[in-house]
Amino acid sequence: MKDWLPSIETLLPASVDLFQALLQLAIGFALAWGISRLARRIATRRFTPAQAEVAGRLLFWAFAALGVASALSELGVDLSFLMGAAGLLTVALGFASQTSASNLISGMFLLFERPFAIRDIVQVGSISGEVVSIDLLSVRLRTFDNRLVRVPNETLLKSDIINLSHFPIRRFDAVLRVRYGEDLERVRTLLLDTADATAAVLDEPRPVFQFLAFTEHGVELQMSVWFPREAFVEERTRFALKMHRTLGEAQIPFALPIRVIQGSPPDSGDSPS
Amino acid sequence: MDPAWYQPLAISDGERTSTWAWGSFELALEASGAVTVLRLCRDGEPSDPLRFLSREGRDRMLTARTADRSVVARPAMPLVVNADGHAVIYVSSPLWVGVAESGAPPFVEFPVTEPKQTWLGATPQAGELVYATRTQARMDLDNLDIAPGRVVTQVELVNRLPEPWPIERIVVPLPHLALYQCEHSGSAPLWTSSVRIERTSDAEVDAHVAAGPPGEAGRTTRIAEPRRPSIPRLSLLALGRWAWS
Repeated sequence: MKDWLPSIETLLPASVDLFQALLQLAIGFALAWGISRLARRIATRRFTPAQAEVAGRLLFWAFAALGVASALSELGVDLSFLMGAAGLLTVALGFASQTSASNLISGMFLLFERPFAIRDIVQVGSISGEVVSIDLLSVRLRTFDNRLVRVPNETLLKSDIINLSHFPIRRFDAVLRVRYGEDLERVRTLLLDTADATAAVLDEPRPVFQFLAFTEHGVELQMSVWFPREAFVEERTRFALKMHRTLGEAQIPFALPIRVIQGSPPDSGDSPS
Repeated sequence: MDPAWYQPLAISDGERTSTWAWGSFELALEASGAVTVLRLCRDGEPSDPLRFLSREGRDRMLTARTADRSVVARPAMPLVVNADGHAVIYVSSPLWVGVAESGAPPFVEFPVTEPKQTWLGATPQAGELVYATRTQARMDLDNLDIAPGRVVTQVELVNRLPEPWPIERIVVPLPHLALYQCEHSGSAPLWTSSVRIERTSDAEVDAHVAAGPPGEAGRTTRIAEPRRPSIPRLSLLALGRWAWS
């Protein structure tokens, strides 16, 4: 028993108080835990849950690091040497984890820019779905066919994000093409009356009927109506079917691509000699 | 219609079926023991029956209330209140009927006529969803043609400014209004508390909710409390956003 006791004394300087170091470590972690909890609680009132979580985690690790540094200092470890080593380690880690660091920093920007929140419906590139979680490195989306897509934060920061559920109302633009020769005034009246007779179409902003272009296949028109966001997908389809039925009953068909091929008799033109 | 149609239906003596109709909207209620079955028919198209389960021995009650959102009435023809002038017009809105267990709020509600929705806000970004109605802005109660299942609100428009006030929209804060039924057969069987809307500045108008329906309604019975607490005064920005004061 006594054989190994002196060996510890030789390892640790005389002033080292192991108990005090452990106490400082424990106090550091307890303080970190308490402050991060308090910060989360306060931040939840003003910020999103994701932002509160990040603030809590950052504070926890900052105070925990202080506790560790204080305990090491009590043990007589030279912190300046440790700092130097930490600096080198940071550079090495930085090179090794460029992508993760980029995602992390992008995540910070996204958290405070807040282009969307959990449960919003967003479209990023060709992916659209409901935001399931916003994490430090990525955002998880649940697509409408129930697949989970992880989008790195860096990709999000560089992409155009369309938030489909940010505003309470949305506009539906239906582009129609009718044949030349149709009574466009009648088409306008029929479509505006259909919109007025549809309860889900908002009275204001007013439905708009507009001319888009004379195309090679017919006259291109646009009917724009507004719906409450929650009912948008269902009501858009219902209204499109109603417009289709109304025009069908009025015997106004949609224009189809038509190619007119004009031929000429063999002797009417120049023939190769 | 039976003046006491909104009273509790005693079902203690077994199965009970009652039906009501307002215009093209019909509602049939079958109550037997703990089961309540509702059958709705709107414009001749019956919908799937709805079944509710509750504790036995409780009477069911048909409830009537004003709409759950405000109504924006747009005059069918231009209406201008001249400088320092005032006008009294009548606006109608759909009645909401529901079924409740006696003493409890309704567990299901339906509008008698499906209301059209609209956006009340200066921009599509900020505002609220409300109901829309067109008003002929009738000023004479005798000319009022009220469809079944519609509730009448008397709105007094007061222009305190020395310039004409073109009325584009009249916002009736229905959730803050109580519902009354006439005790006699008149031109309108259902009324809400009256509303006075005063234009006091270019940017703002004030709406004041009265304690009851107008005298023209005659003797009435208060059959439903407001959905939201009644407030003595609320202000409405000219472009449409509510700002409670």
